[in-house]
Amino acid sequence: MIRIKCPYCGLRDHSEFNYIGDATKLRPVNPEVANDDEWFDYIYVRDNPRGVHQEYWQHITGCRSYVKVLRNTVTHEVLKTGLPSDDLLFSYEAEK
Amino acid sequence: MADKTYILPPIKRLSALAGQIESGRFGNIKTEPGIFIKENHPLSIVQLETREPPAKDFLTVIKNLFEFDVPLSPNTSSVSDKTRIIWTGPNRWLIIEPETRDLISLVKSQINETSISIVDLSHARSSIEIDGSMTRDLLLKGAAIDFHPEAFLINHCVQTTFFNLSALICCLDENRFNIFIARGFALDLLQKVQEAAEEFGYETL
Repeated sequence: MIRIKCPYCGLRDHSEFNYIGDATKLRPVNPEVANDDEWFDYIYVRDNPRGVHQEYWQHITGCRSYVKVLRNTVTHEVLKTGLPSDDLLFSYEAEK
Repeated sequence: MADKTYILPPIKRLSALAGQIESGRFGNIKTEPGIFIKENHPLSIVQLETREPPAKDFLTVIKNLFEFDVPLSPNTSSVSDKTRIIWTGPNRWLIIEPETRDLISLVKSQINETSISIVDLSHARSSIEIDGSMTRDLLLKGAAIDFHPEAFLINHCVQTTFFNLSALICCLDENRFNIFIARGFALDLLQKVQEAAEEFGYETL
């Protein structure tokens, strides 16, 4: 069982959360001038990394807020969680 | 053909559990029932949501209306004699009280800010109250939350999955809890609670 720490509600079972998606994909900085390739990449192209990965989850049966989760895709260990605006990978690397 | 004008009677407030609760004592009762189950009906429930962290004006309006502050820390509630305000998410609260007045109109008349959403959920939620010495053990059977009296204090509230149903559980007193659930799941919740309470012996009121 994966346990995810919601920044508001605390440690809860992952069954209370919905997986939203890859948190490393960023919307094109200038949407007006972005070409089709940039939009295609942003909307459809996803890596399937082995190891540490940043992803969005939503605490759907709790406070319904979005949560950013740093998870190891091999061991399913949740290394860090935070608000959607947090850069977890940066702070995780800094703490190591 | 001309349309007929129908004069419809006003809609009567009917509980989702009307006619479903058989009062009496059931299950493994030795001396006293470990659980007492009853339905809270009718309740006035209003949801408030502000787009941004609440402004001072909003906090003052609520304080003037109910004579206490909205809870700002997660999973807590504030309470007066009859009204309870529960934190249900960032910048979101539920105001709950037994139906004695038109709560939604009262709140709407006091809050003029258009960025605050005010929703009447009175008909959308059902509530079951459980009391008795074994309530915390019963809750543990349905939710992966620490219900120890030192961890789950009075006026503490959680939204979680309770027997796989999305529920809001609120601690009213040492062993007295309110469980709020979407109306359509009320009967399912009641049956799950009754089934879980059988080993402790229960009385429905």
